[in-house]
Amino acid sequence: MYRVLLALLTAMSTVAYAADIGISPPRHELVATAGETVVTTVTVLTTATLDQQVTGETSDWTMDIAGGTAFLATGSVQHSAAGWIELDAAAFVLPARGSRDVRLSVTVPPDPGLDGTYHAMVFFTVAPPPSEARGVGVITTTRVGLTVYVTVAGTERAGSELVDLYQTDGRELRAVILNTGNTVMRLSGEIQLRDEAGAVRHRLEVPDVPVMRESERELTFTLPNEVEAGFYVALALIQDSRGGLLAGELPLEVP
Amino acid sequence: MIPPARSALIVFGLAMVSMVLAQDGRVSLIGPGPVSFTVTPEALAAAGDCSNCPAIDPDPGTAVALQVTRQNPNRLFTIDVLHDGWGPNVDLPLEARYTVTSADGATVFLSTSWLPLYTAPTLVFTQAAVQSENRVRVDVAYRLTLRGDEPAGTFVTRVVHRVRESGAATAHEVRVSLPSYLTVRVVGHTGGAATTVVAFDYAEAPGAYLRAVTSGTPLTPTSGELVRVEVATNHPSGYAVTLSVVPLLTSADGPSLRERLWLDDAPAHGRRFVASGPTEGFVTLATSASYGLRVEGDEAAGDYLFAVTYEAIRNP
Repeated sequence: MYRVLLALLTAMSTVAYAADIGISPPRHELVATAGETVVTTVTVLTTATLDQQVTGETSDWTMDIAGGTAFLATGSVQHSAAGWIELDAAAFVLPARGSRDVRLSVTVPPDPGLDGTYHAMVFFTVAPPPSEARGVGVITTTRVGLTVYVTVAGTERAGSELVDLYQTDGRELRAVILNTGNTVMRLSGEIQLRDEAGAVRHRLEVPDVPVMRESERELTFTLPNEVEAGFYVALALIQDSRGGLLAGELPLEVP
Repeated sequence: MIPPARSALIVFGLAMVSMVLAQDGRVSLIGPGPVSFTVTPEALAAAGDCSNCPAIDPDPGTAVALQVTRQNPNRLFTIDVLHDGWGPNVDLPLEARYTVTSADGATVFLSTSWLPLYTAPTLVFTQAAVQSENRVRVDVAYRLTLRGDEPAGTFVTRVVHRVRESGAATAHEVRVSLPSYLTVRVVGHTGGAATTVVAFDYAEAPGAYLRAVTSGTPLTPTSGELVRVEVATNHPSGYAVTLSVVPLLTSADGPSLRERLWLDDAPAHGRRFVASGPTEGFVTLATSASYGLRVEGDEAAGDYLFAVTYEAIRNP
């Protein structure tokens, strides 16, 4: 009953955008030497019809083997760049249907022991409006995160391995990639499904995802419905963005 | 008897004359381009938000003009336009408008409407529109009418203007740079500042509360100014949106209700929405009706307030 009333209310009234925030670009990949400061900007924008109060803050984040991210307090992870980032405005009013360029000054500490890629997230959050709801009230607001990678120039070390390629059940493949280098690597490429005659019957695209420094990443590939039952050889051809090709093959039977 | 060298010269001359007579028209660039569009994030975001947004003009200083010359008054020419395409899975809505004038620009013979350009030919004009002129100038204006979900990147195509009958053609590049963006927003009812609230007010409906306790069915919102929450990105990495629920006002006497606030069929806190590719426009993540409150009977009476934050990142 309440759902019907809500639907009717929705249909009868006009709507507007609130807690509306976007950024461009959503990721920065910076390179700097130890002791150097690099400056870049991010555009924070909105299509909301009212001015919005926005706060900016840095955060740490980690990525698990499946690609899930967790956000943590600044300075709480080993290769954090969060403490290196200074925003020119920690709080500002984002004008209606407008934008604001926020400047990031990223200073790599003058520490000769720093090497490879460090990372952080910069969040921009819309302050929620006040509420006088009775009972249990839920205010919804939004925040958007800018991913920042900072690589210390001249200290990069590449290296990667295809650790495993296996079939979990009939129609799922998994590949485990190890980044032995100290910089973030990104993946691309494909997995070819070849029939017994060696002809490529299907191609599965390797997604553009990161593998953090000195970490493993597991990718799951679900075979599309058009892959017929039968015997195949899966040939993984996975590109490391820093150069190099990771190859592996797996005989498999698709039920 | 004509010497062989002279006869060869005569044959060559006749061939040249017949070629000229056979030609239907010639087209050449006099304002050479290239044309470039540098799209701002604001323009792209605005394009995603309205169906009739202003079109995007090219960067300044990239004018294109053609000269079309009639070769044979007895054979009409037809000018077509087409382009080579933007690349796999990319379709940018490029349009052109043509103004055909006398060679000195003093007399306007024809102004077209905005013509969408495709990889297949589109007719621009025929010699019938400029019949008495041996040479005309054609000024080309370009624009992009973006939808807002175009992919990020720099895309280049080659626009070809050609004489349909002879295949004589001229070409120039059009380059479009589109920024990458990520946007998350709440759509709410107008009429007040607090446009994003969902409320469960069962103070006057104890029967409904008790039925929810005994049946295990979540309470549904009694009012909802929030209409929907949406996310959009044009980057191939896609997005990840994570919900966090923070209690702003709770009762000290009963359990925290944070874990009892649900979104569809799972607790709202920690809920994730993930996509591994760009969105086609805005994607709805939740509506007012998505929220539910799982009550167990041990809740303390009073008012509660939660802030639910939809935290969007591009897959890093």
